[in-house]
Amino acid sequence: MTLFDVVLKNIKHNIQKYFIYIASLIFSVLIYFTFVSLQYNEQISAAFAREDKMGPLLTGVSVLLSLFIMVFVWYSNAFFITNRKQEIGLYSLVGGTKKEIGKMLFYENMSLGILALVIGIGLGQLFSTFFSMILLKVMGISIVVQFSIQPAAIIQTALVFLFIMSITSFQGYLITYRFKLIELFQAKQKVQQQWKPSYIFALLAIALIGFGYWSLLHAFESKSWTDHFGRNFTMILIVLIIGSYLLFHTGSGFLVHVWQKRKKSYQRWKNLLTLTQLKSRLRSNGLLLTVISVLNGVTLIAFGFAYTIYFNTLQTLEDHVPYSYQFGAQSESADIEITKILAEHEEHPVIFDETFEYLAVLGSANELDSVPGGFLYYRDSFSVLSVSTYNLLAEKLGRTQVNTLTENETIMMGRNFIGSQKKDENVGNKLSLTSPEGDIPFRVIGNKVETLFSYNVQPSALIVNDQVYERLKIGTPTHATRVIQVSNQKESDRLTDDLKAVYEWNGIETEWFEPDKDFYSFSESYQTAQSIYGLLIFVFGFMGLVFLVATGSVIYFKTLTEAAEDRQRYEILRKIGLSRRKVKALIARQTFLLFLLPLLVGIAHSSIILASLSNVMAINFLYPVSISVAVYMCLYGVYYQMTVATANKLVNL
Amino acid sequence: MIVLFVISMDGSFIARYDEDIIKDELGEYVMDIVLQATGIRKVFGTKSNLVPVLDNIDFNVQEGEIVGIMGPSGAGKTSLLNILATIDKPTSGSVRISGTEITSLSDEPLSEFRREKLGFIFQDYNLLDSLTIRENIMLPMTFSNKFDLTTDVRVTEIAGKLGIETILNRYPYETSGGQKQRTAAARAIIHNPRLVLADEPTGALDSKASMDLLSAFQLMNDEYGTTILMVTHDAFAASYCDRIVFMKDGKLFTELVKGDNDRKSFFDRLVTTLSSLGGGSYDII
Repeated sequence: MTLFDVVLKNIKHNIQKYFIYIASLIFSVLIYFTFVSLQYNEQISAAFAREDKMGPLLTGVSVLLSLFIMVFVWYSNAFFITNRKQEIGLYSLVGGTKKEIGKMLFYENMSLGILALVIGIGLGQLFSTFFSMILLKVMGISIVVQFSIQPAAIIQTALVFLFIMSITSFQGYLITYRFKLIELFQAKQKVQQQWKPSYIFALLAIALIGFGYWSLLHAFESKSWTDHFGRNFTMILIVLIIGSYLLFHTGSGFLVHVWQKRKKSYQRWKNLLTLTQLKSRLRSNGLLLTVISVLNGVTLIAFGFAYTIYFNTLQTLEDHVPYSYQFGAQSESADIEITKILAEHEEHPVIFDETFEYLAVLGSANELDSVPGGFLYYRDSFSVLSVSTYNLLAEKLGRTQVNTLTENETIMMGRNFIGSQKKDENVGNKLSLTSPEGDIPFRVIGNKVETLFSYNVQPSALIVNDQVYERLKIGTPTHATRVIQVSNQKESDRLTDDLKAVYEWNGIETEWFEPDKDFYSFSESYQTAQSIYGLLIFVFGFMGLVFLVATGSVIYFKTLTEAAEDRQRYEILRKIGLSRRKVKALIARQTFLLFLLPLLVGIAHSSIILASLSNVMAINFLYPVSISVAVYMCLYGVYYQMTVATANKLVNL
Repeated sequence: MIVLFVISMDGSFIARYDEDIIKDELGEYVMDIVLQATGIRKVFGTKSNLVPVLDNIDFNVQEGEIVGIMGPSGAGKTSLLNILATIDKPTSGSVRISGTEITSLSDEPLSEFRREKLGFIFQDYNLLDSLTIRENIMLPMTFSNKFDLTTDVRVTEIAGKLGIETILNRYPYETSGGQKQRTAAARAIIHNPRLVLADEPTGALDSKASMDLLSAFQLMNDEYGTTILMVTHDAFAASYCDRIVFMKDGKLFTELVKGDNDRKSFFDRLVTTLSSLGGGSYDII
């Protein structure tokens, strides 16, 4: 029998005990491997070809994932070793040197890691086609995925995990050096101290969280948030995290204390037994509970956010891509050809087909409260339309027409891609347009949060009086553009292909990109959007699952350790006459609070943050986020049930 | 200072003994002191609130003795045992076990020392659930790299003597408390240590299992000459000792030697001494 034999026997013995941990580890490997192999999959890359952001996103996410797994393994490992103090003490007493014991722990963690790695990659390979199909499905791409093996993905996954395992295994090695032998035999004698909760900290916790929420919910109107979104957001996150920690560490004890004071409910046996213990437990687990709430929160935000965007894709898109097709004016023959093709595609009847013109006029926006991004992007120019042109398009698009404007009045138009806007933005401000006869001053009398172009970057548009338009037109290049609306535009990709085949690009070769000459189709934009958001939801969904699994595993082990420490307590309770059923109810109740509190805090934090984002981004989160929270709670509930069942088996049978 | 070198017949060096362990208090040269503790002090607590747990203890154990330490709770028995067992270090004082000053050893040589010279038995057995009874007994050999074919033979032999040869292939959870503790005893002597230290070895056992274990101790003592030092609350267990040291408030209070008494009369004397000590109840069987 060698040391390594002992290690193997330990693993064999503990594998059932650590099943949840190993399963979480395997799942992490599986998801990591899936992300990586998607990057290496040629079919997927081909499908991604247009979207050069896919690769970096997957890379970024897999890096994030590996960091998370590292922290997870690190924590679990430290936790297991601390739980095995007595065993380590025994090795030490029968003559094991710290080096030898360190080596044993190193081998053990390494072997578990390699086991998880092999199984994880195996399962990942087995389900690779399945995962690719899910991804393509949510991305709205229809190709049949072939089973393929990516050696590069296997090697990368193996290397990354071996690295993580070596680091965490080395940590196990180092931990043994920190133990003093005498401590190893005193681990069990730790006495739970009763303590007095502090009013001040409880109030501080509530104040911090309250401030964080208040600030988030008012971010929408706040000047400071508009100017320093990133800085403020980081600060509020830190405030919330500190607040949650204080809440768990002292505040909750305080609440329990108040609860205990209410004699009537306190004296019910369940409450009596749960509360006393809970008070000290919440305190000692303050940090852990905070970490779990933050993880819960992050998962919910990431998934809720991705799902919301996916959910809102179509709606968002219709706001930003108002026409089925838009392209620069064509030669006469091409125009005829296009009309012919449109007529041929009977499955997509034409709703309207117009050609309109507008001017790109240089101007000055110095006096505007907020200078539109489009103005700067198109080299300090506004896209100017006449009232009659606008009214024609508004009629076709079902929008409100404008009344006549006087010579020096204008209405601004523009819509941010992300972020809400004030309805009366810049109203009452002044701007001027450059013309051969000199600068013409205008007063903004109205603002429309809409767009008239399908361009990738929306220009800032102005509606002016028809006569002024004619005056501006002298000496300014006009842009003529044809816009077409067909029905069933979402599924019009074949029509799109046919149109693109005859479309001619009539721009001049400059380094400056001329958006008005290009060809824009709703069907392509839809597909791009769907593939980006589909990828987001795929990535965040699976990452959320990894977070959930890891969180569940951490609470699971924490609960079991505490249950084992309390075994004697439960035994005494049974001896003084509590039935097994009641003891089980007690265990369930104590565990329930340990699961519920961080979940509630996580949901509260993420809801407020999402509500704040919803104000800022002007999208409705309620439905998709409710679904995400419901799904999350169900999965979380499964962990709760498993934990209670195992804890009960441990101390109550 | 006199130093004695022991040289074997063929002239090779065997051992070196320092003066203080080869002379007894009368100045006679004796070779059989396994453990010699002098002036042991152990103080716990912070600077402002020091609590002495062990106060200037001098204490010897001779080769082949079974020595018991008794005393009321809080007398410092376990603290003393921890220091003698190299688990803890004294605040001041010296502990020599078979000629080696253990209080000044660093980690690495201390581990080596434990695996060569000491065996341990605990109240709660401390067996590894993942190993069979046989493997548990072998565990110390695993660390000393002395594992070979003779180990197996020795395990079987010792297990036979201690009456656990039939359960060698079982796992600890399949055995009784008494069998577990005899397994722990077998593990404590597998590597032929100079001294076995036992902390309340019968604490978790019923009277039958206690008796079996104590007979096993006796047998280990007779057959292998094992020196045993045990802390116990149990007067019955103590009656198997050759000598009992009583502690009170961190000091050695008195000593009782079995001498030529039979166990029964030794037990009676023990109980009398215990009641004179007061301050706690004892499990008197």
